[in-house]
Amino acid sequence: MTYEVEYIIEGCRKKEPDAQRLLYEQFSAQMYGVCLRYCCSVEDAQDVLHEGFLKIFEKISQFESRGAFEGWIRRIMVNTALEKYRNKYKVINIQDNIKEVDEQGHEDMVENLTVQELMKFIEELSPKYRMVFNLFAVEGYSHKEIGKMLDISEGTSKSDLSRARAILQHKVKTYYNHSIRTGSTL
Amino acid sequence: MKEKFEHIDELYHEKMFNYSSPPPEIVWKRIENSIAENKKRALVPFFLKLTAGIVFLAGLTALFIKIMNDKNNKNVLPLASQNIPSINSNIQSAQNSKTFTYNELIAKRTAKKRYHKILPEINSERQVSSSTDPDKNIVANLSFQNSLVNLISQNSLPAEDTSLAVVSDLDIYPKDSTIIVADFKSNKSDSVKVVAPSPNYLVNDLLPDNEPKKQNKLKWTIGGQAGPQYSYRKLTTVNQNNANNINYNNYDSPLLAYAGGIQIEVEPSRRLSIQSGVYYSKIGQEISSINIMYVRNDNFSGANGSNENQPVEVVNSIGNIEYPVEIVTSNLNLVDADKNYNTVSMIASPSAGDYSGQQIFEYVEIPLILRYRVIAQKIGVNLIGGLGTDILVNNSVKLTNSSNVSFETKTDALKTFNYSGTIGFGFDYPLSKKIIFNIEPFFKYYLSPINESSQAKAQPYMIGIMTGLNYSF
Repeated sequence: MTYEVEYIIEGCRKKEPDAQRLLYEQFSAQMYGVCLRYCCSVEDAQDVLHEGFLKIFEKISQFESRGAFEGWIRRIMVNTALEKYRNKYKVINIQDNIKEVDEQGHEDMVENLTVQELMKFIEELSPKYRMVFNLFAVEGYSHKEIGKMLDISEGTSKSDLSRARAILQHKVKTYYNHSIRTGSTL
Repeated sequence: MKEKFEHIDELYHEKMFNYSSPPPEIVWKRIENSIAENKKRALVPFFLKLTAGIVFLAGLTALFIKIMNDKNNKNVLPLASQNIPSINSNIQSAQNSKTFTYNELIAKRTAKKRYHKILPEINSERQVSSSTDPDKNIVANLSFQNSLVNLISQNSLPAEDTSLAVVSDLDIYPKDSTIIVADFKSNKSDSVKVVAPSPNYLVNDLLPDNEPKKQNKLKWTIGGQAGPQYSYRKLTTVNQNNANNINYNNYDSPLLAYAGGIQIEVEPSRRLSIQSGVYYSKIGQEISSINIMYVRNDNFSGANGSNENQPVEVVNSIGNIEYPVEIVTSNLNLVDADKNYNTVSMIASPSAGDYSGQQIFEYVEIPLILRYRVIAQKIGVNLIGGLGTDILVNNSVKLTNSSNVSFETKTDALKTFNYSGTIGFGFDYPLSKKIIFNIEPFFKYYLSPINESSQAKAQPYMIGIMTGLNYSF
């Protein structure tokens, strides 16, 4: 942790508005990226960012300097997004249309996809699949942990991940074919 | 196929883990507004509570002073006889006036539940008047002779008719220590209420003839009370429907605990009493699940480049619960770290059902309770209300998981001093002249969150029944 961040954290502990603003400026873009990956809409992502930063400012006195601050605020942001998801999608379980895809020959094309393109594919997933895929593939949680987080079984988590992957593969392939035909990108 | 899927996973992780996008400026504006609102909310209740407390105590003091003054005034000695107003020299003797015997007067006053023994001296005369304003004044002269009460004259009646006035429904009673009211009807003037102009000499007459004057002595009682109480909490955070609160309400449930203590009570009047004392109160909640956050410490580099545990926290509606890292993490079966992240990554496991138990807070309370005796019969009924200072003396959390791994810890950042309000009602029954049994259902509510740093801002409340014995002296 840099001296500057430590200084900002100390200011936030004293609830100094300038320090809070600096903290927000330093981490908001990255945390907004996390929120966008987990949320169904830009509005939801902004809500989570808003609620998450309020929690950070409120709980910052509980942060112990021996840990990584970025990891700490990321953890709060992910959990805030999960809370919103659990609240919003407690009953609704949207199933995406899953199509079997031919996965041969897309490795190079996949590697060349931009962040915006990857983001668009994630955004098109149903909330449940998006959650599982983000938690497993991007954040690195295990199926057991994801099961506990989303209140689903480990098997369901694996199954949802498999479907999310299949959907993403399908989208990538469709996008790839379309790009080849038209020579356009997103 | 599996390898290809994992290839996509890694691609997403590599490109998306640090994905960032600048948020619109409106988000910061909203955050700023929320912070400002939180500050205002924290400030206003403090002043409201302070004001309410001051008003309450001022009211209590004023009431106490008034009661004490009233008691003292009843002991005012009669004024000197020179203050007795002279009887109008032009009084005409009343002829055929209605008269009442002593016994009739006593019977009337008994029926009206007024003073029973307030008869003036025999063979005396009294002048009473209705007002200090000469134009509106009605003056009546009454004579108490030979055990009879006569209307001698009344200035509102024509002089020639005075003798014909027939007085009925005569009633004489004290308004306070210096005024006597004579309430009567005559055949010429219905419902005349006349007030004696400072007939202080009558005060002695108002006192019971054969009973010694009672001294103004406060009645004190001491006693003890104990009983069960059902305790829970209200989450007072801004957005009652936010996901956190909903989760907390799913996982928390009320706790049946108990309270008890000793009390001392003073009764400045027959109906009012003020109580204080020292009480012990055990409150809290059952927790069936808690959000657990922890950090995997293998294969991850800490901020200073070494492997290390990251801060661990268990958060519930009351606040952050401390616990030994080695116990909890060893019982959550952390997965292997199969990815070599460059930055510190944390693995959180907020979910239902890992650890359950009780979150307990023990307080010593010093209350200031006001009791108003609504029914002052053999079985008394009281209304109860007051404030109290609650001092946290112990807090503990006992948690156990499905594998019977258990540990005891505590909740962080609880306030030591809290303030609560109590309302209720009570019944009391004298078991003997000195010993009184009481039973009092009550509702108590903490006036502010017991942990200001918690997100949910929980304010405990209790519903219980206290029973006990009081000794009066």
